[in-house]
Amino acid sequence: MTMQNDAWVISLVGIGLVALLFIYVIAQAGKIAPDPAGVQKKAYALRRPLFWALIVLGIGVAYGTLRTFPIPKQQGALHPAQTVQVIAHQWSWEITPAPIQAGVPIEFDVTSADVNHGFAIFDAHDRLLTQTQAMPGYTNRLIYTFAQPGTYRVLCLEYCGVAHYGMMDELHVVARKGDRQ
Amino acid sequence: MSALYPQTEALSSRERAVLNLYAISALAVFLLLMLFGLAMRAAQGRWINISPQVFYQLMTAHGAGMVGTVGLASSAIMWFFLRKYVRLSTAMFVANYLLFLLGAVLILAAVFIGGFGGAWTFLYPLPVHTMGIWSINAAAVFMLGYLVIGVGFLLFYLDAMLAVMRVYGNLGRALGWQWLFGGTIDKSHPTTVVASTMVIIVNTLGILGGAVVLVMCLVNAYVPRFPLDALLVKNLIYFFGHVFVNCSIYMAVIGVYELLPRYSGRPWGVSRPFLWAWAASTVMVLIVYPHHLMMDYVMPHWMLVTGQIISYTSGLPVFLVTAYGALTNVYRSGMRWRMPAMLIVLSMFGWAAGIVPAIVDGTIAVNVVMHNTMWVPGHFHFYLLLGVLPMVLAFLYHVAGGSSRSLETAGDRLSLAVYLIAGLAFVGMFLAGGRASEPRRYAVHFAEWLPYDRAASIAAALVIAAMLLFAIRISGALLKAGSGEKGSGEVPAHLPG
Amino acid sequence: MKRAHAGLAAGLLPVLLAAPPLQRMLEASMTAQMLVQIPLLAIAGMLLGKSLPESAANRIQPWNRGGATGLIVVTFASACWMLPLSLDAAVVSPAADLAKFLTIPLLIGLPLASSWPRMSFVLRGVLLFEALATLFRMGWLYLISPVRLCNSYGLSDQQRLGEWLLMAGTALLLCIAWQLLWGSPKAAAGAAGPPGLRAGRPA
Repeated sequence: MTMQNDAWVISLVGIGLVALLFIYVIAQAGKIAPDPAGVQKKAYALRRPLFWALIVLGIGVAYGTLRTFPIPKQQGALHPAQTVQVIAHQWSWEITPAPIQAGVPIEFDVTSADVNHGFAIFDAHDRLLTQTQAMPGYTNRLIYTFAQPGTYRVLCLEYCGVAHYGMMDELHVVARKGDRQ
Repeated sequence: MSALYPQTEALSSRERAVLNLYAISALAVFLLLMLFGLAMRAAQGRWINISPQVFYQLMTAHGAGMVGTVGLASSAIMWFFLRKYVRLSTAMFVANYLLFLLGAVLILAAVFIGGFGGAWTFLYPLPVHTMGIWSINAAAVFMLGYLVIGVGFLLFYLDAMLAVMRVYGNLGRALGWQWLFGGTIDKSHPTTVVASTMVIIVNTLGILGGAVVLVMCLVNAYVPRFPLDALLVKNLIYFFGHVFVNCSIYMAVIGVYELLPRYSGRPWGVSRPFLWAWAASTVMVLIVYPHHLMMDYVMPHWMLVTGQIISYTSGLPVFLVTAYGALTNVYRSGMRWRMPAMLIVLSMFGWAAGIVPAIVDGTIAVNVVMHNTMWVPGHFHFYLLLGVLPMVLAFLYHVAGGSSRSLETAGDRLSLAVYLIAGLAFVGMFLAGGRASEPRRYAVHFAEWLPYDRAASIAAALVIAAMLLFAIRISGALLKAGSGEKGSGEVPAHLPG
Repeated sequence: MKRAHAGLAAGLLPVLLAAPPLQRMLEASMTAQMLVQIPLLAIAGMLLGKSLPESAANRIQPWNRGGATGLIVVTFASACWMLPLSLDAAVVSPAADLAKFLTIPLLIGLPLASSWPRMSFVLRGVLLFEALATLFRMGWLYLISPVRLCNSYGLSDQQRLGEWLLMAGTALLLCIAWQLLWGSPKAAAGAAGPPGLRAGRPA
């Protein structure tokens, strides 16, 4: 399962639950409850546990997704195996040095020479693996470990003008010396 | 007098004329901008051929235009209902319209004459880093257009602020904050006043942020020796943009609070959870914007955590107060399923369901692989196209239906069904594209993404067809009512009171 | 404050501010000039407005309907004195200094005092909104300017002024927000717009 699939499934389930609730209520809407005040009272009594259930769910999900913070610290040394400089231009990437090693954490120091860009790494099947913004005046530090050697694609994910869609490059990831591939 | 059309909502002929201006302009612009959207999807699907330059002009006009026009249409809903409880100035309502018109002309001129294609977010320094595609002047005219529109909304809000304070003393009392921690709630305190006051406060602050950042960008455009901090500008733009778009939803939902009880026959008034929900939303909408900047790793990480947590908590008032309240209101109520009622229930579904993918994307770990993919237009089209627009349409169907008996035909209902199904397919293709890592704002797509683009184009065409029918029906009824009779207090014979 | 007291204060304040040691002190830093001296001069003008007899105020009223004329004068005069160029000139040229001591009370303070009560709520709101936005914009500009905008003052003084302006803007915003949210109902009722503007719908 990829993160994209997780997000997709969770969203579909959530939307589906909302839809089911609506369909149920719509199906019941034509009937007339003999005691309208009672309906409201019951519904609002149900709301309180629902509220606490959502709070507990939210705290759980927030804790689970933030405990290991998804973004590396931006100050101090990160001790990567390799550091790669990324400078975005309208409309090209300047990535040094190549090639990049597989299987070890790589630090990308991402900045821009002109406007805002988005540095995004895609795998051979054009699936988005990770990203950060490339902003003039700032350097965003991204850590990523490539599982497999191969050719990865870099796409721009922040609108940067008329050739935004064509701002692509490739990363060549090779096996570390000593690794058998 | 009737339960559906109370006398307090009757329009003078002047007020009717102004409302018609708002309604018909908004419908016409929605249609035009939807066509721009269709053109973009069809171009991405390689069914039509437009140059990237034109693509990005269409994209800029579509974004800026939709954000502004949804705001304009929603402000008409707020005006229509709020004027029952406080004295609003028709002159200020007209001023807002005229300034909006002027701003829209400036924006369209900047885009289609000046060639500006810097997106509705005008992220610094793109507008002034044109690569020769457009001029600094075009960028400046675009930003000036925003400023003019902002002034119009400011006038409208200030007038509403005065009117609310005259009746309720201060804004805190209008929001019902005196009842948050105890005391007997005055059940007749209007939900409309609570929601309107929240919007007045929040959007005035949003417009203030916009007024600061727009002028700074204008100064920088002509005096480049004042270099702006790109991250600070981005913070302010997303603060302003997020607040403005959300306020459109909050203004439009006033129509739901007012109209749904009339069609269900059940009251829907203020309660302590309701007041808490709006009090919390007042604060949350101001501090949630960092969820747009999660991929700016240099942002203070506590702000990004705030963005994630507040994204989650922002869902609670929507789910548990507005949507849940609406469902409770409808459940076994003997609902009168007329067009406005159906559109309102659709809008509640669209809003509640649409924020599910939004909340998912508000999680930093998900944002890393979803930010600026098609997932993003997927969720915001979900609650704008299937949430806010149905609120606007419900309001207009209601108002137009007051003097026309022909707005409840099988054609209208068929259009609604088409709108719902095609709308779901349309946003579904965005979300599916996001799952497949399809980037947003690409004029040219890889071959593997074409199926999503083409399916979305077909769905968009169907949505537009339904919208065209809605627009014709509503405009026709509004114009007929305006020419035929004075006032709209009359109740059509076929509607039970 | 009694009219006579206001008049006395209005006369004394500029004289006091023009006293060489005080003037030298307040003009020594950009921050003091912008945030102490100029506001005090404007206040002198407001006091002058308070000290004027009723008849004089009534005579100019037709020329200042809804406070519009006064608003325009105040806007232009304060825009002029916001330019670093004019702050500079006031330090080096006695003529410009004199102009400052005359125009700020007479073209900012006085018209503001006589127009504010006549302004509608919406106009007041626009004025305050614009004042807030201007404080933030000027503060931001002074902070980011890589060059000295005044020859008489250093870069660090300029940046300090920038910070003070941002703080002043924030403080003003909080005061206004507090007043609107929790202020006494009377204050709101007093903020009357011109009667007859609104359609006569019973609230």
